[in-house]
Amino acid sequence: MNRVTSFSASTLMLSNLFDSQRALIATQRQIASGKKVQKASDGPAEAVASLDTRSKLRRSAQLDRNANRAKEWLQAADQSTQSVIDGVNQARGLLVQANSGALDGPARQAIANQILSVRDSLLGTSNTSVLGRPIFSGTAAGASAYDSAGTYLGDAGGVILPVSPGVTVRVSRTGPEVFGISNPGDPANGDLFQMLTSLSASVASNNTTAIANGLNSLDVASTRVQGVQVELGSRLNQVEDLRTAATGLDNELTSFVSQLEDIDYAEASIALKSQEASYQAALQVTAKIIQPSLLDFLR
Amino acid sequence: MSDFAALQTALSGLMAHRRAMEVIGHNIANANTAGFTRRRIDLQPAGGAAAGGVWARSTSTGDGVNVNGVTRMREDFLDLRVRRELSTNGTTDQVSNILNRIEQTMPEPSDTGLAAKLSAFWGSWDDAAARPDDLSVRSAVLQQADSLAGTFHTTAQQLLDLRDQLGSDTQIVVEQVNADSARVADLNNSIVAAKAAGVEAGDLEDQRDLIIDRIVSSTGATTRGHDDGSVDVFLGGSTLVRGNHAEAISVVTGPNLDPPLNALGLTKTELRWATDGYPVVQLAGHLGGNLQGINTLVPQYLNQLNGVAATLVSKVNALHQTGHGLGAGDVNLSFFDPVGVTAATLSLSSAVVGQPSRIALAAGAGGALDGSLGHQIAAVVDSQNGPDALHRTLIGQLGIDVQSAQRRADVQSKITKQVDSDRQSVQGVSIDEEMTSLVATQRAYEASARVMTAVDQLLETLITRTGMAGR
Repeated sequence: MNRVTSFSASTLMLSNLFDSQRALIATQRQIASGKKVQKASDGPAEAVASLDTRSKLRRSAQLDRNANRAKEWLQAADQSTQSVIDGVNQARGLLVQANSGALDGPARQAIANQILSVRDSLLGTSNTSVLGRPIFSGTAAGASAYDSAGTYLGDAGGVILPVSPGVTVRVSRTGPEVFGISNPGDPANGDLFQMLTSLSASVASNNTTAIANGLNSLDVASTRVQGVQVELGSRLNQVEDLRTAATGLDNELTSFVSQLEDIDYAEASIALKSQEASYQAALQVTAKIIQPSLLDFLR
Repeated sequence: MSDFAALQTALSGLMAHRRAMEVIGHNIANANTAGFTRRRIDLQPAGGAAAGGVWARSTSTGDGVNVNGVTRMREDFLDLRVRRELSTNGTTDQVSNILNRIEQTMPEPSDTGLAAKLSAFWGSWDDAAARPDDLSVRSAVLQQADSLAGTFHTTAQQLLDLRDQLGSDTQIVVEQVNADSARVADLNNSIVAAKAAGVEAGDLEDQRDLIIDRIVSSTGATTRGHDDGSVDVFLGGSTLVRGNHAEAISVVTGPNLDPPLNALGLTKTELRWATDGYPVVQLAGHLGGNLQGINTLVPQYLNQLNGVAATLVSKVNALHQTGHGLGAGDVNLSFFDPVGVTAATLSLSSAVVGQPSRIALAAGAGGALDGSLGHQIAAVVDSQNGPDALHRTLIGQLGIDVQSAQRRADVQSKITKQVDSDRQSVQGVSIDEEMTSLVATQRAYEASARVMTAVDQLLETLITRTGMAGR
C-alpha cells in the first residue's frame, strides 16, 4: 500500500478498534455468565458432550426418584414380613401351649380364639399399602390384597422399578409368595389364613394330630416368609448401593459439565486484563495518529 | 515571437494553477465522501514546434502550460478485485447471519431447551409408571407431552418465520437492485453524453461506480467497462445493464424444494428475469445468501427437527400401542397423533388427550396397575437412535455449521476490508498529499504572477523609457 488516505486509514483504524472491542465484549460476556459455551457454536463438541451429560444427569435424577420409591416399597414390605413372622411365631407358641394337653375346654377355646385373632392381624398386615396401593396385590387394581374371608384379590404381577441404568428391581411380592398358596380343598395345607383358621378349629376340638402337623406347617411358613424378608432386605441394600454409586457418578458428571461449559475465572480475568490493556493502547495510539495532519505544521 | 507572448505564458500558468487549486479544493471537500475518486489535473507544456523543419528554425521556448484534463485516479483491476470480494462477502455474511438466527431458535445447551423438555417428558413416564393408579401423575405425562409439543411448535414456527423474513428481505433487496440498475443505466447515458460533449463527468462516474458496488454486493454481478465511459453489468452471464438499458429481475415462487427436502411441502424462492422469465443463475452476494437460506439452510434444519419429532412419535407410539390403560377397552392406542408428524403439527392423539386413565403404562400381559411399559417408554431416553440422540446430532451439526460460517465470514470480511483499503489507497483522498499539492500550486501561482510582473516591468521599460534618448 503506497498511499495512506485519510478515509482508508480511519476505516482500518476503526475496524481494528472494533476487533479489540469485540474480543473484550466476548470475554466480558463469558465472565458475566460464567459460561464459555453459551451457544452450540461456541464449541460444538463441548455443546454436544454437555447436552449428552445433562441428559444423563436428568435421567439419573429420575432414577433417583425411582430408587426412593423402590425403597419405600421395600421398607414397607420388610416391615410387613417382619410382622408376619412375629404373627406366625405367636401362633406357633399358642399351638405349643395347646399341644401340651393339660388344658380344659374353655382354655382351649381361648387359645383357639387367640389364634383367630392372630389370623385377623395377619390379614390386616396383608393389606399394608404404600400411598394407597396394597403392596401384596401384584399389579391388580383394588384397595386391598385380601378380602375379609382371606381370598387373594391380586394377581401374579410385580412392581418393577428401574433404579439405575440397565438395572431394574422387583420391589413387590405377591400375596401367595408371602402368605402361601391358597388350598380350599385342604385348608390345613393352604395359605396362612386358611391354615390358622383350620388350626384354630383343631385346637378347639383338641385334634392333636392336626395340631402336631400344624406346628410343622407353621415352621415351613415361617421359613418361607423369612426367606422373602432376607431377599427384600438384600434388594434394599442393592438399591442403596446403586444409588450411592450413582451419586458419585453424578458428582463426576456435574463437574464434567462444569468443565465443558464453565470458564476458568483466573484465565478469563487475565485475558480480560490483557485485552483491556491492548484496547486502551489501541485507543491511545489511534488518538495520537488520527489528530495531526500536515495542516498542523503549515503556517 | 511577440513580446506579449511572455505575458500569455504567465497567464497560462496562473490559469492552470487556479484550475489545479479548484481540483485540490474538490478533492479536499470530498475527502470523506463514500465512493469519491480523487482527481489529478493533467498539465502539459504548450507550444513549441511540433517537429522541426529541415530549413526552418524556431527559437520558441514554449507557450506556457495547458490543462489537458482532469484524471480520475482509479484502477480497473482494483475495482474488479473489490467487486469479486464484495460479492463473496455478501454471501458469507448473510449465510453466517442466517445460521446465527437458526441457532437462536434452538438455544442449547440450556435448562429450558428441547433437550430439557424431552428429559422432563421421559421423567414423567417414570413417575407415572411408579404410581399407575394416581390420575394426577398420569395427567402430568399429558402436560409434559403438551409442553414438549409446544416447544417443537415454537421452534418450527420460528424457523418458518425466519424463512418468511428472508423472503421479504429478498423482495426488498431485489427492488433495490432493480432501482439501482435503472439508475446505473441513467448514469451511463449521462456519462456517455457528457464525455461526447467533452464535459467533465467524474462525479457521475463516482456515483455510478458506488451504485454498482452495491449491486455487486447484493447479487454478485460482474462488470465490463467501455471506451465511451459506460459500464455494463452482468448477472450470471446475462445483461443486467447494457449501456443505457437496464433489465429487471423479480422474485417468484418456484416448484417444491428439491429432494430430500420436498417432503416439507415448502416451495422454492427463485429470481427470474422480468422480461423472459428465465431463472437468474450464478447468483451470489446478499441475495445468493438469502436464497441459500430460504431454499436450503432453514428447510434443512426444519427437516432435521421434523426427524426428531417423527422419531419421538414412532418410538413412543410403537411401545404405547402394545400396552393398555386403566379401562378395559384402552388397548392399541396411539399416544401421539400418528398422522402428519412434523415439528409444527406434533400433538397428542385424540385417544388420550384429556383422558389420563387411557395412557398405557401396563404391558400387554400385565395387571391394571402394572407400570413396566411406562418404565420402558421412559428408557427411550437412552436409545442410541432415539429423539434425544437425534436432537444432539442436530445441535452438534448446527454448532459446527454456525462456527465455520462465522469464521468464513470473519476471514472474508477481513479480505474485503483489505482489498477495499487497497483501492482506497489509490482512489482515496489523502489530506497531507492535497496540502502538499496545494502549497506547491500556490507557490507556482505566486511565481507565475511574479513572472507576469517581471514581464510587465520589462514592457514598461520598453514603452516608457525607450526612444527618450536625449530628452
